[in-house]
Amino acid sequence: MIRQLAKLLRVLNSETAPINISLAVCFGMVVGFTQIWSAHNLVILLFVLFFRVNLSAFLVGTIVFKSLLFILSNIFHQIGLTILTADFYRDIGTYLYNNTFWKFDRINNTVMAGSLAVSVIGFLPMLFISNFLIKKYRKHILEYVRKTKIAKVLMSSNFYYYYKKISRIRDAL
Amino acid sequence: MKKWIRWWGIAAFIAIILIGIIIWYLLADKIIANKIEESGEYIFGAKVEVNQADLTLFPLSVNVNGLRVANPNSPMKNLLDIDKVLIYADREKLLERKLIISDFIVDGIKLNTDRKTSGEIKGADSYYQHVYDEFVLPILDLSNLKSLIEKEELPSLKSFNYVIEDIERVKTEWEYSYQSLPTMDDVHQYQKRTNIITQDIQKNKIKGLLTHGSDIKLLKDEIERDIANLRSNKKTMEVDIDSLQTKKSRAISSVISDINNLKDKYTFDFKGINNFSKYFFKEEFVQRIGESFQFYDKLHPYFQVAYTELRNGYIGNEPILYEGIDVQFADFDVQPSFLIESAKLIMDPSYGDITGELKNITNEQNVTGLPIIINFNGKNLDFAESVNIGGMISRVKLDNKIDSISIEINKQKIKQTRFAINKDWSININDGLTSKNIDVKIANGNIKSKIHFEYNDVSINSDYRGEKNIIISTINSLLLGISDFYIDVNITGNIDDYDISIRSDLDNRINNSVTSLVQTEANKVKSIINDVVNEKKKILVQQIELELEKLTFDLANVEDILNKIKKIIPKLP
Repeated sequence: MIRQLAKLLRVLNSETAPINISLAVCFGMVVGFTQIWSAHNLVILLFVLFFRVNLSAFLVGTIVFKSLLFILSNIFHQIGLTILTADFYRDIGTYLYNNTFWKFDRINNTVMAGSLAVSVIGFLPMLFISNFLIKKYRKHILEYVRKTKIAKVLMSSNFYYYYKKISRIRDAL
Repeated sequence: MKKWIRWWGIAAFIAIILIGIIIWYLLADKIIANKIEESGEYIFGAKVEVNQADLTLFPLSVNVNGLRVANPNSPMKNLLDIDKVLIYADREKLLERKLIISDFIVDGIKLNTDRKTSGEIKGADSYYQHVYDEFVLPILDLSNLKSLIEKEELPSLKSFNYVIEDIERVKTEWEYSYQSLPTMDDVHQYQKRTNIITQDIQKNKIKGLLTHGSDIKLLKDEIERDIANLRSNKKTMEVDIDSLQTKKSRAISSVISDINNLKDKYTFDFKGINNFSKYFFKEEFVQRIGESFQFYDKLHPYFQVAYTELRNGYIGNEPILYEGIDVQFADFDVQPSFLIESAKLIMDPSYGDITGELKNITNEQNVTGLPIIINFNGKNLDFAESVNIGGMISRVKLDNKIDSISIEINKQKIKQTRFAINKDWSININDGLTSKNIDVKIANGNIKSKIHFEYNDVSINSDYRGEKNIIISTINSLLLGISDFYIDVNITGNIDDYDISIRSDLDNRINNSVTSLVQTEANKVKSIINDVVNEKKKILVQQIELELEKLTFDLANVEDILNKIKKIIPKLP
């Protein structure tokens, strides 16, 4: 976790495009909120690996949102129950229920449907919000954070040292 | 575009998936074994152990070796001990999250085997333990009975003591009131003063009247004040005496209730004698029926989970190991998400040749339209001539839940069986044969049953470790001579609140042989209880009556003063 935080801090402080980090956080939200071993998360994993979505931010985002799931699962159940039993959803639900991909994805489960709906609906707002916050962070808070003890500790950790070394080798390749 | 893509990502993805599949496959056996244990423990509330699980992908099958389910009511015993379970599933349906098991073979089933370690799970539901009615044994040492009753704390005797305390309180209050009441001396003084005034008026006429005007008024005022005081106190005294009399009567009435309670406590249980089989076979039936219904209660939700009603006409089921509810939608491929088409059950050879089959096991009978069918047969067995078990669990229609089981065991050999009647007395049935017919139907929670056990060629002996008791000796010697008898058990009510009645032809035989003995015994006990309690009552009642007489005398005294003082007023001019 320290390693990931160090990486995230480095990424936030680097020249990495904010959209790459924001996208990673949003995909982390989808994976974190929904059941890890589900079909749609495999697609997201492929997407995250194939496109230059920041992996550290994705991992930290997944862990953070997965932690929130314990608190939010009952709310997701209620949202899922409302959606799955709504009249407008009957035809869509029947179609998805009979589709192998979505059936394998447990889309008819209230917690799964609720968490997926929340993360999909919240994807774009989260993208814009995190993008905005990263830009603001870099502009106003970055210098202050660099001076904090915790940032110094994280930056000076062995993990970070080796990470930097490997990154340099990878860049050279 | 190139800066958005990293081609090595595809390779990483494939590597992750491959590594995931390899790890899963390597751990699959362990995962399956753990899942079986986890789900089983959740359902049964007792330890479930799997020796080994083996997953084969082509064809898709799971082979489970050594499956043991502990008995939650008896943690040192296994409810089920199975040598081998073979499961063949449809691989294509699994991709649609449908577990369709075409063949399910359970081989080498043993029941009620011993465990080396306890199968108890901390925090699981408590064991079923029936609380039996106490079978009251007669007390034959009557001298002992007398001392026991003398030591009893009787509410009626306490009531008498409360009456005595009340009398003391009333007496104290009255004594305080007497201080403000006129005495006979005061009456004589009033009469004297009245005579002086009347004589003077008779003598001096108007002059006398004028002279004593103020005296007459003063005297009248004093007398009237005393009359009011006497009247008020007399009324209070009457109320007090009346209240004490009522309390005394109540205390006397409660003596009868105390005597009856003591009779119930110390006399032999007449109901027990009329229905002795209730105590005789309580463990055989009451405890086992209770345990069976406890299991039924635990298992039946899994047959009907598809029927959790949701809004807008939707139904859903709670997945066992996942959160939330799986909502059911119309399925183009009409098959439930879980189905065991046929489960073949083969008992361990030590029981003889018994095989059975369970069909259509699913929690979505609304989808299959078929109830679960149970069929179990065995002939020429080591322990019985034949066993036939048939049953059905129907949840096809939401408003018509019907479960039935029919068990027929013919000529089962009886192992020595001990029936504990109470802590001192047990009866053993040895040898012989028993034929059992059990028909239980639970329709929408309501139980209908017909249970009949026939015992033939049995030998009965008893073990009694209490004090010598003629009634128990009589029952024991009667049972010694009995070789054939039957038991009928009837369960009425619903699954949450039911009654079990146990009747046997033993009841009449025992009743006839010991009724006169029990009656004589009961009469002796009743007589001692009456004597002891009435003697105690007599002393207290006498004390109360004496005190009440004194109070009544005091009241009469006050009445006398009042009457005399009232007669003075008319004499005044």
